[in-house]
Amino acid sequence: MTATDPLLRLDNVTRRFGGLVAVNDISFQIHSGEVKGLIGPNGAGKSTTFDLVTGVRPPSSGEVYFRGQRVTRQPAHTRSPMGMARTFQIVRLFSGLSVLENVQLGLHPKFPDGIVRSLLRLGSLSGQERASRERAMDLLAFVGLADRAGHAIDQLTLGQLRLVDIARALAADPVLLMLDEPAAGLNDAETDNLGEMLVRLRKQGLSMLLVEHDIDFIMKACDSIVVMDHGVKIADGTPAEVARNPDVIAAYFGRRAVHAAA
Amino acid sequence: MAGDTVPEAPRAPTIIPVLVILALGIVLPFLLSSGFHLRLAMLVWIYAILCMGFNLLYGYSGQISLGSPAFYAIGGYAFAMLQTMLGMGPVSAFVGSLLLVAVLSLLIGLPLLRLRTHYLAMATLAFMLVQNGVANRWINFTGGQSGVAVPPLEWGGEPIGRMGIYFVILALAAAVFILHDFLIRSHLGRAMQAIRDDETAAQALGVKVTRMKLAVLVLSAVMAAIAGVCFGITSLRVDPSLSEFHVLVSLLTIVVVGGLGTRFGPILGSIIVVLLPQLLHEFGELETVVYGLFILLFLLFLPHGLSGLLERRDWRLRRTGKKPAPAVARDLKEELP
Ligand SMILES: Nc1ncnc2c1ncn2[C@@H]1O[C@H](COP(=O)(O)OP(=O)(O)O)[C@@H](O)[C@H]1O
Ligand SMILES: [Mg+2]
Repeated sequence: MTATDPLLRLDNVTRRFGGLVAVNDISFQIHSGEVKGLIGPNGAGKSTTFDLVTGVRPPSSGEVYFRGQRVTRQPAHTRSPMGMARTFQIVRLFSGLSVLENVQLGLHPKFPDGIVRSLLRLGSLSGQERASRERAMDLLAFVGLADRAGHAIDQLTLGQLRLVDIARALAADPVLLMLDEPAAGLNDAETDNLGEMLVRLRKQGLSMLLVEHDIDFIMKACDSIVVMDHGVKIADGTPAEVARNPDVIAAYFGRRAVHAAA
Repeated sequence: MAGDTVPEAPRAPTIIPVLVILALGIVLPFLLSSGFHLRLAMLVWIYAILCMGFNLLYGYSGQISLGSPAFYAIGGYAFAMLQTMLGMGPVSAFVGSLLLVAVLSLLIGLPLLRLRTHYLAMATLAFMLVQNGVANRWINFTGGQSGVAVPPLEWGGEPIGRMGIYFVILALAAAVFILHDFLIRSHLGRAMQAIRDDETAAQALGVKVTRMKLAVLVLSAVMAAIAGVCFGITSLRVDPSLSEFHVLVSLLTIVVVGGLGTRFGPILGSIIVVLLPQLLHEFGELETVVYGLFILLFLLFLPHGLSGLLERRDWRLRRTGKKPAPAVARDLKEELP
């Protein structure tokens, strides 16, 4: 990987579900340190694009490169050790584990792999477990939930669950953080809090791919924006460029205006 | 709020309770007056071994595999037949039977673990029925209904007494128990539970889901085989009853009564399931009914089993050894070096 290579590159990625083309020939890049927005009306194919990038499902065609390596058909578990972390649109925390343990799971790839290797490194395991607990506590403090560490998942509000999900994604020290509608279901105060947190992460140089419905939120948070509609990329540029793009206004803002009018 | 603790408790902080239980296991035979009681104690350990494997697979990893009784039986049969047919010594027959079951479970797991929930349950149940059918019908090889004799364990040319056999079984149970406990309390137990709760999310966090499921399946099969060998050396005979339906029912009863996905559930459940019928003898004809009612009450009032009563989850906060920080976001620069 050379210095000019993008961190993430999608080359003509397509995904079909039966007759439906959920993602249609999408290409874009994310450079190191860049915060990219991915927007589009409901059903545009944003979450499916997430799944293709993170290996949850393979694309029907096209290629995905991460840090100069082709990862198109690599299984999903290879992403975290490479530095890619994600959250899900519908929060997917582990309900049988405490908040702290959920975040600790983000550190799983740092532990010895498998039963035999773990037994061979028995001596260092308890120290590693303690370190992972401390790191998870720090991350919970970062998202403002340190006092919820020992709680069960079902004792948290949706806003708190989203923050735990983000803390868990941050645990493995990712270079690319992918958030799928992190502000969905949050109240204004929680959304502001999240926005500030993303600003702080951005200042740290963390690259991000951000799916969000809230246009104001995305315009403020992103360096550049990809707009999708019906699986197709209809715009790619700075927030200002995208906001001026007539296709975007028609496909996205236009439709919203129609909704608002109705 | 409904209490600030999580209902079940896997990764508790110390191994001390495990050592206490094992110490009780060492003292126990000296307190028992009859050979019958000693035999019940051995049965408790045998079921505990079988159920710890099942607990890892179903309770922790969420894989509803009902093949355990088959591996239990195959372990016992292989241990006997490697000695009687191939003339192996007991130690190599023991190792051989575990290897055989490991390979077999791997071959079965590779295609079957793709199946989810009740499909996996049905497929593994079918495997159990096939195994039981073979044990019953392939009379020339398996001895049919009457099964195969297991050569008694010997030490210096003399058969080992009942007490000695108890300690052999206790030693094997201790090994399984300590491994079970280590897994549960380590990052691996955490990953197993993550797989149980949400495979996709676990994978996104770097858990090798397929490999882990396979490893746990093989491990649980090997544990079942160890239980089968133990049954063989106590009963001196293995027959098709090892993989009959009632074994599966006992297995499920034990994990439910003891507590599915808990640290001590398999042992506590085994004690109940082995001893309860003895205590219920006086009910005569009503024994089964009372037994059923008892289990029903357990399900209603102790959804996390006996172990759920003992294992509270408030240790989590204590364990971190830190006073919880106030609920405000701190600066990132401090937190993420
Ligand atoms: N697993 C699936 N099977 C079939 N169709 C799907 C699946 N996932 C998504 N889709 C369809 O693909 C399209 C894009 O969905 P999605 O990526 O979730 O959109 P977005 O996240 O932009 O709202 C939708 O029409 C949706 O119904
Ligand atoms: Mg979506």
